[in-house]
Amino acid sequence: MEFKWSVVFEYRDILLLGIVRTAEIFAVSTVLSLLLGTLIGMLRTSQKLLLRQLGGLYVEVFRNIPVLIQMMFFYFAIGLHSFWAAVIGLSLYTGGYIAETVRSVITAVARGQKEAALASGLSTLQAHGSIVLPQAFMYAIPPLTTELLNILKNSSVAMVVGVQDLTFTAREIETATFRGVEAAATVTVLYIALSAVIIGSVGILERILGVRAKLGERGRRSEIEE
Amino acid sequence: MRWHIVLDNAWFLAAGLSRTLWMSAVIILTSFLLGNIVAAMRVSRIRGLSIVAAGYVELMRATPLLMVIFWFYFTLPLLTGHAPSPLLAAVSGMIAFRCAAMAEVVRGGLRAVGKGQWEAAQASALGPVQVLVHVVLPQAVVNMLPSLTSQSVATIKSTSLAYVIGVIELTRAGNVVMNREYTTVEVLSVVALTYLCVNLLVSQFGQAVWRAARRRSGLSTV
Repeated sequence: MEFKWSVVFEYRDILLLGIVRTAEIFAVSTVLSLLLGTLIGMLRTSQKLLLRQLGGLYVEVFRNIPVLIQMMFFYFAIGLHSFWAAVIGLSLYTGGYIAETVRSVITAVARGQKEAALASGLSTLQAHGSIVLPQAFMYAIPPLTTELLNILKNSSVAMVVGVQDLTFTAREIETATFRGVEAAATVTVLYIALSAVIIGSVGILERILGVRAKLGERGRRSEIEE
Repeated sequence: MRWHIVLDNAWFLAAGLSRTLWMSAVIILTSFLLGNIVAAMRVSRIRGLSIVAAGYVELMRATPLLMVIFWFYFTLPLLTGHAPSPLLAAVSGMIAFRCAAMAEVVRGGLRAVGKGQWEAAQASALGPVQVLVHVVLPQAVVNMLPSLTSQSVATIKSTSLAYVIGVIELTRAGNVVMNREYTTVEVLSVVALTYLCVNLLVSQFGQAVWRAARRRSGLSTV
């Protein structure tokens, strides 16, 4: 067994394009799934039964269907461009998980805080907008970090519908050179580096907001769930 | 709409579903057993063991499952000398990946059993093994049940990735039918609905077992 790492270096341009494409999927899906997840999460905590049930239905359906099938649906059945099929599939899927995070933090904060806000004469909208949601967001940072890492990891599924992301390049290099181990190892290291960038960015964000000290270590690590 | 295509190919799709379920069962059971070993290593007092286990868990946490499947698909030929069956590569990759998550579930379940329980059991003159088997594990398993359920659902969903290296499970079977019959929406919807039903059944079952176990120990089931 002999390894030839120079092969990977020869393909650095393709790898770089793969990183860019993966970063693009990650960025767009993050924005979309955060918006969607917040909306559904708020539906889940609504006072209207119908809205709560709609939110619940969304979460049950989109979390229980493999992300690959969701991407395939937008690619083969709807006929979207592969990039958008992947992004929309991934966002709908992750939206369900983020909705559950949003729901649990809103419920945790709302108790007491909302009543106090209403008692001080704020309207329901004001109570939500300026009291509950900002606090909920701080508590949501650790579980949301896990979701961001999941978006990065699940973005690899996009290669199946033909997006030339980082995982795609691993297979591309393997096909061209039969150096699968070198290609897979390199791409894995790149994924770990991207994860590190995400974790680092969240850390900086937390420091800016000053939440780290407030939350402490408790609940920083949440369960691996994808 | 050509829903009859789905009926015409029902046996083929059912065979795909059966493979999906078999793969999931093997992966869930094996990775839970191995997860126990990794968790034991991780809490071990021998530093070398705990560092290796923690490194393994963190590596798997940061790597996409698809890449882990590729590792096995690309590396197994180097070790065995011939091309691996896609099924073997997919299942071993998924076990390696899921095992890390299971180790965290086990570790969390053990940690959630209060220190008082260990101390009380030891004070009642039970040996360390007896404490573990009769006092800690029964409680830990109940604590783990919700996470085990979500890991099982995650496993079932993730078996769809075996599609990429050509294992004919439910997703691949659906695609074969799609390409043969030029029928996309109907087949994909049925495949999606099948995954949904299986996963809802598994979650409901997991929840029922958890409730029953909690009720038996006289704990709240909310």
